[in-house]
Parts: sequence; C-alpha cells; structure tokens
Amino acid sequence: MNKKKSTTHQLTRRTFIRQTGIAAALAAGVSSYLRLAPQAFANAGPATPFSFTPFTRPLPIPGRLAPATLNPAPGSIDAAVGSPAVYHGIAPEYNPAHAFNKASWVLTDPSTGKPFAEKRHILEYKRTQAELIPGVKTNLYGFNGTVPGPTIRARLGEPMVVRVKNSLADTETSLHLHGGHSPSHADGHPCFYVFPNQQRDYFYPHVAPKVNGKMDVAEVPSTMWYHDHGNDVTAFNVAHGLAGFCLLTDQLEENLIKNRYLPDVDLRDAAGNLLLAADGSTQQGRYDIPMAFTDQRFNADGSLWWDPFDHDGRIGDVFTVNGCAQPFLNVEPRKYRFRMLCASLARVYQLRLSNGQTMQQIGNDSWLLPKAIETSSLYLNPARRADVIIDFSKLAGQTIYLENIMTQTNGRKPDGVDPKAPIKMVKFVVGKTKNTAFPDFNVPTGVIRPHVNITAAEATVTRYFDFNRSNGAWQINGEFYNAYRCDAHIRKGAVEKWVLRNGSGGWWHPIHIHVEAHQVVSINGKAPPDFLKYKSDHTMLEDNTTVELLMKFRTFDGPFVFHCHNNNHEDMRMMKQMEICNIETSGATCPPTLNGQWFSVPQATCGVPTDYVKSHPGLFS
Amino acid sequence: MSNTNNTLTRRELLTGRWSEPVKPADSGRFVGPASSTPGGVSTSERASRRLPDCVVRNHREDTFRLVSDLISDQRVILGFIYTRCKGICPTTTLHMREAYRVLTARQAAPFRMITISVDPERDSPDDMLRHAAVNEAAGFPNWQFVVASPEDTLAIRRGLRLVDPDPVRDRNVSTHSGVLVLGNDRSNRWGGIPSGAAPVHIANTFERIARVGTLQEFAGFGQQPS
Repeated sequence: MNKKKSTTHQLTRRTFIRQTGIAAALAAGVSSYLRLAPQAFANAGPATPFSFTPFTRPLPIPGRLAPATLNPAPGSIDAAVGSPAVYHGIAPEYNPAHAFNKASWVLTDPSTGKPFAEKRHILEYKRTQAELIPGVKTNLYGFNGTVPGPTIRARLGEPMVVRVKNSLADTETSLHLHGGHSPSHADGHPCFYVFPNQQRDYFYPHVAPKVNGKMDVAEVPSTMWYHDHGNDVTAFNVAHGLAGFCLLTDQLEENLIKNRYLPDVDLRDAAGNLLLAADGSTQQGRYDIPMAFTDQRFNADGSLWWDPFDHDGRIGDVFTVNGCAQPFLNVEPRKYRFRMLCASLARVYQLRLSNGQTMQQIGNDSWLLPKAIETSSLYLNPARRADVIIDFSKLAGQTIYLENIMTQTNGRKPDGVDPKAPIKMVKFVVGKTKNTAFPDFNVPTGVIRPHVNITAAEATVTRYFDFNRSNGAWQINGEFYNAYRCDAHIRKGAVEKWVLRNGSGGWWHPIHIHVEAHQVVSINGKAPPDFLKYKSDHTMLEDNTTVELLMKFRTFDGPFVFHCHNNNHEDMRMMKQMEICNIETSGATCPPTLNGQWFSVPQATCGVPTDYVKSHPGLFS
Repeated sequence: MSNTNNTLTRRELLTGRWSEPVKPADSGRFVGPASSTPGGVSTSERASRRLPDCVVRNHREDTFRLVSDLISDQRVILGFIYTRCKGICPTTTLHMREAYRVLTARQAAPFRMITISVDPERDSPDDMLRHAAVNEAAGFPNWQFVVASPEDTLAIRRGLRLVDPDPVRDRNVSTHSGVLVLGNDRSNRWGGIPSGAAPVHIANTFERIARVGTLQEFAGFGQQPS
C-alpha cells in the first residue's frame, strides 16, 4: 500500500466514522493510520504520535534458542545456591537423590534408541532496541536481545536446563513457562527472583503427569510460552518484550507430522533432514508460524508509553505481531498452522479472516484439542493461545487480512464485538504457486490428541474463590496476596473442583492457574464453548460470572500461584498461593518445602478444602 | 513556610508527641546516583511530572508544593485517608506507621511518607493532625499529612489513577482507594500495594521497588535466594 492510497483510506474512514458515530467504539482498536481524536483515548493514555503505512514489512519469525555449554555445570557445587556463578542454584528435583527421580522420567530418543540427553541453553534478560513501528527506534527488554524471545524447542521426556541471567541492572525478574508442568523452583513463582546480574538454572524435565506409570498422552502440551513473572514488574516487563514461545512435541504429534496431518514444526529439506541455523539451533518450519499479538502505545521519543500508576490494564493503539506493527506474510496457496498468542496485558481480541473464510482451531492454550473445531472467529484474551489452521489453497493470487473485531477502550474489559469496525492485524499475500517439494497436510478428521474427562465424582475437595475489588485494590476471598501465606494446601494426587466467581459488573479477569491443566465444567451453569471444553491453563472470568473447573495436582510438590493474567491486576496482587504437598509422606501438616518463613501459618480463611477441614480439625482451628 | 513556636507548642500539647523537626529533614533527600531503571527504558519523562504540582498544607500548617517540595527526587510512600473514615483509613495509617518503623529500624535509605486527604472539603490541617495523633503517627519527621484543594485533590487522584470508573462511587469517599503508591522519583520506578497488606510486606515491597543500591540491600527481607 503506498502513502497516497493510505491517505485516501484515512479520509474515507474518518468520514465514515463521523457519519456513523461509532468513533468511541473504534477508538480502542484503530491503527495509527486511522488516527482519531486524542480525547477518545482519554481512558487509556495519549495517542501514539506516529503515523506509518501498514503492511510494508514482513512478519518476523522468531529464531530458535541455540544450544549452549553451561560452565559450571548445572547441579555442580560451583553452580549451587549462593555460588558466585549461579547465585540462585537449581531446583532440588534436579538432584538425583530427590524423590522426583528425574532419571525415571527421561524418555527414549526414537532416533538413537537411547535416553534423551539433557539439553542446555542460556537465556539472558537484556536491554535491546527494535523498530516496532517502521523508522521508530524503541527501547525494549528482550530475551537474548530479541522481541519476542527466541522460540524454545522442547521434546517430551527430554530434560532441559536453561541458565537464566538477569542483565537488567535495575529490575528483579522471574521466568515462567506458561502452560508447562514444571517443578516449583522452575515455575517462575513471582517471588523466586533472578536478581540483577545473577543467574538461576531453570530445570524443565518436560514431562506430562503419569497415569499407570506412563506419561499421560492426553496431558502433553504443544504451544507453551514463556514470559517474565516477577512480582510488581510483570506487566512492565511483558509489555517491554519479555515473552517468547516454547513449542513441544511428543511421539503423538511427531506421528501427526509424519503422516501429514500437521506441518513440520522445524525447518527441514524436502528429504526430511533438519536444516540448522549457523548457531546450531533448529529453525521454524515453513508452514508452522507462531504469531504473538501485542498492543502498544508510544511516546514521542519512540519509547513505550507506560503509566506506572495504572492498575486497570494497559491498552495500546498500535498492534504488533511478533514485534512488528501490522506486518504482511507471503504465503503459498496451501494450509498453514498458526500458533496465535495474545501477549497483550489487558486487550481481548476476536479474530477473523477478512474474506469470511472459516478456520480450523486444533488447539487451545498449550494443548491440542481432541478434534478440530471449524470456526469463523477466534476469542483470544490475555495469555490465551489458539492453534489454528488456515487454508489459503483457494486464494491463489489474492490478499486477505487477519482482523480484530473486538473493541476495547480501557483495561477493565472490552466494549464488545463490532463486526463493522475491523482492525487489520496481518496481511496475507497469497502466491500463485506452491512449492510441490513439500506435500500439503490434511486437517485431521479423527482424534488429534485424546482427551480424558475429569469427572465431578472424582473431586474430593471443593474450593470457592471470589474475585473482587475493595477500596481500589484487588482481593480474592477478601484477602490481599501474601507471598508468605499458603491459601490452599493441596494434596498431591488430589482431584479438586474450583469455583471461581466474579461478582463485579465492571471487570474481566483471565485467571491463570499454574502447574497443571484444568478442565472447565461450566460457565454460569452452562456448558462452555467447544474450544474450552477440554484443557486450559487459564479461564476468562467475565463480569458477573461463575466458572466451575476440575483439576488434578500431580508430579510436583511445592508452592505455585494462581492469579489474574491481566498483568496490571496481577502486579496489584490479584493472586493466591497454593502449596501441593505429598500428604502420604509428609503427614497431615504438610510442612513448608522451602524454609521456615514460608507458609508457617496455614490460613483457614481461604480456599480450604471441605473434607480436609473435616479430617484435620486441629489444623484449621 | 515556617511555623511559629507558639503554634508548635499548642500542637505539642494537643498531641503530646512533638519531638521532631518541623520541616522535612534534609536527610529525606535522596542523593544517590541516578540509576537506570525500568522507568528509564520506557520514557525520559518522570511519572511524577504527570501529577499537579499543587499547594498542599500539612498537619503543621506548613505549605508545600506537592511534587517539587515533597516528591521530586525522593523515595516516597503515598497513602490516602479522610479523617471521619471508619473503614480502611485507620488501617492505612497504622500500616504506614509500622512500615515506617520497620524501615527506620533497618536503617533504610532516606524516604518520605505523604498521607493525602481524599475529603478536602471537610478535612482541615487540624483534623489531619488529630488523625495522625490518634494513630500515633504525628511525630515522624518525614511524614506529612496533607490537604489540597478539592480540585487539586481530584487532579492528584486522577494522576495516580486512583479514581473509580463509576462517578457515583467515586464521589462516595467511603469507597476511596486503599492503594499505597510507592516509588523512587529519581529512578522513576513506581508500584502499588494495598494498604491492607502486612506492614513488613509494605516495607519489603517499597525497598525492592524504590531501592537504592544493590541486590544485597534488599535480598534479605524474608525472601530466600532459592
């Protein structure tokens, strides 16, 4: 699109907006070439003072995290807690003597017939600069200096150690692998910091919970993401670029790829050989594309606009995908798999294709669905991932757009869907021919990934959590977050039913529960929409909504958190802490797993399991 | 502004707690090196400059400019109360007081506390003094209990985003924000914590967000390194 055409478009749209009087509804989502009056942004901040021609730059595809040699070796005495090299040490589960017994979780590498060797990487938090808007240099934070961070490529049963260095001299950090099943010390608890200029070894065994001694194929994640999770700084850090993808495969997904039901996750030649980058890392497959959506707002000096006093939720007026405002993507007339991620802090998207074509959703959050869902639009709230197949095969030579039709003018909740006010996010330029060296894939018609329903009868515990606002601050069950208090003692192996309630009419909260997938049973007493019927790692709690969900707690002991994933709310402590404990070995008291200060006072006022109180009256008196 | 000794003596009698200098002590001024901060990556403009630099009167009837006299270059904790409050306000002041004591006992770097009335039409400096005295907080040298004009108070609340989106609710002072705003103007890093949080956590959070210096200075506050 050239400048002249853009201007014409702008005038037309402005006239249209004036005539139809929907300026306010449009204001949230307008791209910078459709600038509206600044007062329309009063809630969210001043309008970004830059104009640009959209769809002039190709969609950046994040590189992969390269293998690295860690010196000193993880788990060694020189890399233990308090050491100069790795001040924060590594999770105790890494120790062979630990009850987790990591060796028993390592799977056999099908290509060698031997157990997978441990993968090692380095991830460094550092300052960087990028042009989110063409020609405008913006200071950002990046993992290894890139925004989004390099994609981590993981394999089920292949242990991984990521040495995380915090080279941001001025802020404490904590890395969370979102949608993963990781030990507490590697889970990015908001208070398990990586202090400035220090390192921590994150141990990811990359396992799924075991059933009858084998890892449960139904629980294996595909599309995880990682982002900063430091207490008080999560929103700032994520907004400034500290997020990336982590793609995991297992035998099931590899078979789907081999049988041409899914495209290659990694870049391969026509003979199927891996094509590695110069640094030894794998590269993103041709027809499998990750897309991380953010909304940003800029100052005149090019820096990101940030209001440290805002706790409603940050809403931007420039839309970026993989760190590029309104990119284009050249595609072949064939099917593609897109891993879409809402990495925005507070914005909710409703995405559709401009030609009205449907898409096949094959995954929600980290997990592949049991069957593909045909859908004309995708609901993408903060932290949600949608694994989607788009078929361009009938569009040779044409151009279509991925559009957002959800309008939102402040961080509290969206204003609603307006199909007449689409915001173009990505332009797909469909070529005339496809590369026949790579056969197309078919959307699976049968079971993609099996799903095992948790039944309500299995639940031995019911907990109620009320999310509300009191005197301008967030509370859960009438309490503020306290990192020193355990709000829910959970027995390892237990099945629990959680009832999340939002009695407010003014706010939405995407509630993210760490460590395990949960299954949404009902939303306001009704069955959830298809894509939410299976596994999720977070649940959008809309206004005046009650969500019931079922969850199992397996594999790992220790403290984990659950919280609102509107990162501004999270930083204002809309968070609770649970401790999973092995009651069979620890006894009824479930002693603290870290040190005497943590959870030394069990609190009976929040999230207490019904039967637990009955069977342990002394504990909760 | 200076006070007469007579006024002071009257107050002294009223509270029985005067033993500290009247003006914010020079020690309240943060003189460490300007550090690069999360705020620094975002914008060169300090967030405090979005607040009105309005005239405020404290419980000693001194007048100050809010930003240039009290916030600029300082490490501050801002709280919000009204003196007839039967709800969250006594807790707010109590927790600020205990956090003040924790920070003092730790010999933390200089900091200030500012308690702002959200009911300026009714609250006088005398009322603020009474509130401070009743809560045993009137004698802290670097803690001002201030009243601004109603317009300025609204502007301050707007600047700090402590306005309820529902205008009816916002006009009702009893539902006012119980958030403590804490930060370091020099490093331009700010955060918030509910005033209902435990005082030691308020102090810890303040030291982490508004900290001066290095890791070791805030690593020990109850959070183990592993």
